[in-house]
Amino acid sequence: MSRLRAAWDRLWFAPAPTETLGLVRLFVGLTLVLKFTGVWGIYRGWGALNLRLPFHDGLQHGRFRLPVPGFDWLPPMTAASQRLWDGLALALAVLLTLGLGTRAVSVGLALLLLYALLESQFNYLHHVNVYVWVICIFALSPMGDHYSLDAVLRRLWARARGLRPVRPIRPILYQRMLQVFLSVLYLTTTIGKLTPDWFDGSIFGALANGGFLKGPFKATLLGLFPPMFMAWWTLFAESLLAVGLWHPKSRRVTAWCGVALHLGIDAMMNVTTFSYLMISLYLSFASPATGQTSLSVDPGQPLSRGLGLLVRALDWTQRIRLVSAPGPMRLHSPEGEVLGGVHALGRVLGLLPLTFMAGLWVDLGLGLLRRLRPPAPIG
Amino acid sequence: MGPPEQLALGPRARAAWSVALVLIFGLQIGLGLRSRLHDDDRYGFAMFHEFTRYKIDYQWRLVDGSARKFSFPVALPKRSAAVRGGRHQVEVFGAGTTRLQLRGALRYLWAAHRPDDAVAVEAVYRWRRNDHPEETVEQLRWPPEGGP
Repeated sequence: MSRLRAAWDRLWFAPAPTETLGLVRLFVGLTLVLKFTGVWGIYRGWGALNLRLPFHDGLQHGRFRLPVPGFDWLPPMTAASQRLWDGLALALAVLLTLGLGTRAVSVGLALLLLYALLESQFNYLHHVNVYVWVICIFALSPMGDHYSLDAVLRRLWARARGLRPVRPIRPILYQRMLQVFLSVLYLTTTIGKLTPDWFDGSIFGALANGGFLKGPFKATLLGLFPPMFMAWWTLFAESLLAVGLWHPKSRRVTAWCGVALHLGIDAMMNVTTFSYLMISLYLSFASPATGQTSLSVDPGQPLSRGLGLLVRALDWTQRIRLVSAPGPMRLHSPEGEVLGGVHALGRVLGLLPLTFMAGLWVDLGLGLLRRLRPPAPIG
Repeated sequence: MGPPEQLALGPRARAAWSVALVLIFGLQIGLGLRSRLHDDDRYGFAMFHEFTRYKIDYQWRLVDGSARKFSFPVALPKRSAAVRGGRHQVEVFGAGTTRLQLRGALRYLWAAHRPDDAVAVEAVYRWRRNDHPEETVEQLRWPPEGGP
């Protein structure tokens, strides 16, 4: 019993830095801003960039109203209150992204989304449901410790009083809630798809006939990938995402599968910002500590100096600590690896949010190469 | 950023959080099970596991036992048009979703639009999964036989 309790405490209450929470908040907030401004959907081509401020979806019900059982007491949404809802939701999404008044904003946003979900059964959409869960977890968590205006203000406040700003170490609980939620979600959706129509791939033909697949890329993607492949790829990726993010060795490949899966969905289906939300949630598995990878660059060497500049410009999540040193470029990973040349370049690309996908390809390719021809030891 | 500051939870806060965690994830799993039991993907997380093509026809059951067909008497904008009836429609959340929404619609129709000579309102709900040809026909009624 005591061992079980110790394991429970380790799982939920082990101390951890909170940079990851800030990162997840920043990206999830951004997806909400995109949602409430109508900017989404690869399947829409350039039309995805049409900005609508705020995005107004129109009333879902008229005189016939169908609240979720037990929530008949909620005031019905009117055309005026829906416009207010839209404006307020966009304003709170912007504040959440900036991290200003983060806790209060998260609570406000959670209440707004919950109201929309419960006020009418016709308001239900999968991605709204996922947002409700995620923002409710945000409302219970300190999401503004990092990458936020709250953090900047706290630092200024501390300095004004001659105090040294501190880096909060909190229970890992908040990050774990996001991780467990994500895993249960993928597990449930995989179990739901264990049907004959998914096994034989006919679901994709049915989805196409039903008008669920759309956009200019539909024909190309359906031509490139047979329905059976698409169905099994979905089942494989979703089941992998339920477990693969937990282990450091499978994390990057799993995240890559998730990104590919959701970009594929976004290229053919109207799921608004659902794909971007799910991809953002993978960040909850990012190592919470920043600056644990160090890269030594030689300012005298053009390639080395260029990589240093790239890291300065694109390392928004502060994963890499730059060290200026003469000699060949060296990357020291948190796991104790020392990498040089293209191996270091591949790892750096994999750590930057914008080049994550390319970095994984380089890393995978080089990993295969390393197995065939191991590089000479460095350092 | 400065030195780390430990902000650990006390034993009582940990106990309270432990209970909250069991409730939160119990609810998530419970909603998933509910969606399987009711064939209604809403609020659970079984996304796009199937869709249904369906048609609804409404009728009043009259005192003399005959049936009188009718169209949904009020405008149903956007997604609430899912229960409009009289035409072929598609539902992405499962056959149970339409069934549950229809029960709500029948109660509304009975409460707000009942003619004097009606003893019940009925919906004939015909549906089939994905592209399968087999059709299921259900007759839903409010109030149920023998009273609500």
